[in-house]
Amino acid sequence: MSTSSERKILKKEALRGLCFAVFLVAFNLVYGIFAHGVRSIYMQTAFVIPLVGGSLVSLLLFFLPYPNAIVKAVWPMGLATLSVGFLLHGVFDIYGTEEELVNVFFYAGVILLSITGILYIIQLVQSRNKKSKPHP
Amino acid sequence: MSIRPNAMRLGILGFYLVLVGFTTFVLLYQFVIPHGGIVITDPVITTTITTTITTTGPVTTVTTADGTTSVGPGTTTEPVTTTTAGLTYPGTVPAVLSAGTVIGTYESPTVLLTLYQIRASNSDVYVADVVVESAYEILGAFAYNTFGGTNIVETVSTMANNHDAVFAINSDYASHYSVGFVIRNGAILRSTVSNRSAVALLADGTVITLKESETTVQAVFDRGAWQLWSFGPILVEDGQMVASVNDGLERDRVNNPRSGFGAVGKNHFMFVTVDGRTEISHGADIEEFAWIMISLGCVTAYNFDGGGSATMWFDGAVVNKPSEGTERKVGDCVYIKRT
Repeated sequence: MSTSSERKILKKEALRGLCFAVFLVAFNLVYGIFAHGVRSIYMQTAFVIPLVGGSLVSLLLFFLPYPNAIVKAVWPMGLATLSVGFLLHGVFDIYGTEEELVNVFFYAGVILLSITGILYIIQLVQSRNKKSKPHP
Repeated sequence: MSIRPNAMRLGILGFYLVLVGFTTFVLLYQFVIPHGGIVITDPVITTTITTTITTTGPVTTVTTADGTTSVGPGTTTEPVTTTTAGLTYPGTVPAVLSAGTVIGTYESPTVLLTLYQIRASNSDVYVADVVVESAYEILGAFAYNTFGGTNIVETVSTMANNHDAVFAINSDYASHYSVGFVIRNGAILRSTVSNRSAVALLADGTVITLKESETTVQAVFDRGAWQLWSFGPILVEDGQMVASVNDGLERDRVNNPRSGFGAVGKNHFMFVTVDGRTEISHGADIEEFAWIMISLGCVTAYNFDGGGSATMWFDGAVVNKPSEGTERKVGDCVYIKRT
């Protein structure tokens, strides 16, 4: 469980995720105006990444141990990388082209999120072990 | 594991700088920086006019980056000889063309071309009704004579002028995709399969459509393909509309400027451009475009790259009104050489 000061930070991060999701929705709408009706599922769904990975996860952390500094720093990097990948894929879709370099964003994003997930699990296990150890 | 806060901040800043930098690079790489491609030599068409007209088959040589050379069907030592006694339009002029305005004509011993402007689908439509002596008159050109690269683009006008063309229209922008069959001027330029349907103009002047996933480029080439375009969708097959606005592509569902190619019969073709995205011309969705092709008498018709790319050029000037106000640079075009 997080402390009250940590909850304040989590609330801020949840709000930041929400703002970024709204930005991505707006970006999709504005881009759509200039795309002559052509749409991309990647651009349309990009907002889900900060909404789920940012806001929802931050709210979940109210009920879980507060993540350490590395986890807190790397997780948004993964989200940002994935979001940019989705946006770029959308831009190229609408333009009607393919660019393999976009896959770098997907791979990097998934790797960063996976690393963060593993680090957080390690943190959970370590904190549980500490709790279960009897005091000398 | 503990990391000093300053080092952490520096690391985070560094990461986001790399992210911004790489994103910028990917955008520039895709949209601005010209790269890649193989240089294509122009086909050599030797036409000797005596009492009859003798057309020798074209020769296309393509040297790829790895040094291998592929040569088109025209390299046969036996010249393809045809006798021309003056070309005429077979059958009657379609009603839709009779109601339009003739805005240009071109006649040579091997090419008969009439350019019409008509109204259809609330748009100005430009139709080049072309009869050729041989399919070899229908040629393909790439920007800077380079196929397969990215951002290697020129206007249709530039390509047409560089190839001494009398007529040109943008085609399938083959370099735009990384996969899909490409045969141009009798040479296989790409053999990877895409999920698109293609159209092939055979050396005997007939036109076939095909699903790339159901054949190989070699098989199409062996049937005598002189040109193969891969953009799509197929608009008309056996005189019936096969295009659908529900094919899953937004660009096909909405009204857009269009370019396309249709076959009325052997060596009788229609090249069509529909203006769009203006008050005067709304553009056509893919079904409307197919209906236009059918109204022109096309038995087979195929959609080329459209939107801002849709450009038709004739005798030194662009005849349609490209939707961006000026000609968009594209990767390739189909043209007919001035003879």
